[in-house]
Amino acid sequence: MGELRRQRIGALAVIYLVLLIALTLAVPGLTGYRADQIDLTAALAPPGGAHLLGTDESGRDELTRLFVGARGSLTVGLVAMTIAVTVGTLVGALAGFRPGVVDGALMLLTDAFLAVPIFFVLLTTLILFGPSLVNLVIVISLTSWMTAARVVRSEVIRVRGLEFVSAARAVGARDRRILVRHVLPQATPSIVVAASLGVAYAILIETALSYLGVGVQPPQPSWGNMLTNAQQYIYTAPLLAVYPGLLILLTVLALNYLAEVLRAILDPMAARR
Amino acid sequence: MKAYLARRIIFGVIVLLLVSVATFTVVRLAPGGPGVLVSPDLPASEVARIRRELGLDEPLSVQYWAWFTKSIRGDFGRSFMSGRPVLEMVTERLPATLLLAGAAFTFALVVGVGSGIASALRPNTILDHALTAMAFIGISTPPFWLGIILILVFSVNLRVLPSSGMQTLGIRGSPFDLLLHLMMPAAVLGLLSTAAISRYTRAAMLGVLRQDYLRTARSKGLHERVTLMRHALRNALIPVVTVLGVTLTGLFGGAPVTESVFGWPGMGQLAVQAARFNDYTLIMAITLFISVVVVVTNLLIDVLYVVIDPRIDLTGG
Repeated sequence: MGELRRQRIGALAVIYLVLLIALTLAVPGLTGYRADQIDLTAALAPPGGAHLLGTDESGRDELTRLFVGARGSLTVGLVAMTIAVTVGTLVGALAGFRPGVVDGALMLLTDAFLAVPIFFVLLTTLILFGPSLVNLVIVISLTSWMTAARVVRSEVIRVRGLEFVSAARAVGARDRRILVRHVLPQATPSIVVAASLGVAYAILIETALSYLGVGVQPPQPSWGNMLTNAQQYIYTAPLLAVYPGLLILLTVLALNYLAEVLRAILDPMAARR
Repeated sequence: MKAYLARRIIFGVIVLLLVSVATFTVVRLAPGGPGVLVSPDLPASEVARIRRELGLDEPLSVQYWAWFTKSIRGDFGRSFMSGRPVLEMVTERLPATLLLAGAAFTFALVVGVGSGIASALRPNTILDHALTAMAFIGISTPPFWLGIILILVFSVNLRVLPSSGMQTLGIRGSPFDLLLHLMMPAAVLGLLSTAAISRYTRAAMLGVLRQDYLRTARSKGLHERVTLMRHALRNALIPVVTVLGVTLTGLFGGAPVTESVFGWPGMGQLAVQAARFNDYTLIMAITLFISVVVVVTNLLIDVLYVVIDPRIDLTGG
């Protein structure tokens, strides 16, 4: 990507995400409908008129549901990513500072998590513990901490041998201080990129689980469970199957591009490779 | 070579043990686990008797060992959903899942490597930018939605492809009919891997094109196509092989969603059904089965990697 193109794409991604969050907060008031407001006389209304994007099979306003549905996806994405990055940072730091058995065991665990078809484990856990927002966040974050762990570990190992760290240690700095003052600032660019990709990943997983009926539960709308219903009415109201997916695509695309642009800004050497 | 393989095999076994311990523990500790199957109306003495018979009052480690030794012999118990032996239900679904994953893998390999090479040969052209953008869109598209949109276009509007299942009723064993049913699910399942393989191929090919041995090949007067295919592509594909393992894990992990969208009668769809019925013996068995498949295929890729690249250092991690 050229410098200018990159800046433009980055700006577009940020504008989209800000707009999405603003609409998510404003829409129920703007449209004048509630997300669970059923009106069977107006079921499957086409776009235009009283309902800008039409209604679903129960006559609920599609536009309202789209942006109320965004709340769940965005919240799950942000919270799950925060937990995943925190857990990953701790695991990576511990592994980096304790070479030998601890490092070996933690990296084995990380590789094991990466080598397992995690979606099956997610399904099992969600069904057994019940599909709630909290459980969604827990299972998604517990299965996506591995990238951050690897990034932080390699950064710790790289920094550990540097002279200023040896100097810090010589004047009595402990591991925790070295981690906070010397390692984390250096690792921040990689962690920020991993976090942006992490939100995108979490949203994709959440919508897929909600689509399968083990994520966000009706009547609470979510982009995933709205598509479950839309698939049944695909012959009569095909547009209902388009909107939620388009929003997922745009949101995840914006986050992925944001990660790419951040990588270029924060780590110019890596971007040029 | 032997030490390397031994290490990979030990890792595979450890992964499978961890998966089995994790699924077992999750299932036993969960509020929706075997405990709830006992009716609340029964007197306490009856409940205690049933729990004793099922071995539920033993320590977890004892229960795990009992379950593990039975599983090793292929005895996974019976499904609550159908009353049939779990092993039988899982094995009859296995071919459909393997067929779909194989087709998706082939699709990803052909399209991914092809577009990656096309990008690398004309870097920073409109074609390269377009393919890069498509790869980005590819990794950002929710697969189940892409499935629904493909059904909308090819089944509802154009009416050229069947929307679900593995074969048309009444037509049995027709390879062409099977192929028609396979096309959309394979493309959807393979999409993510296609984008990843395309990116890796492009990067690897760009790296190889700068190498001295390629300039040598050209200066010997070799035909450009021979140079690219014989000298460049072969070397470029080596790093691509490393992502195949991740790709395969992703393909099996994507099975529940894709198979559910297209009503494909494989293990993924069975897992979703089992999840809805709270059929925990079945879903434990499926998770273990899929993990075995993934670990074994990853092991094969590790071997393949050594075979195609004699430069690989077997002493390091």
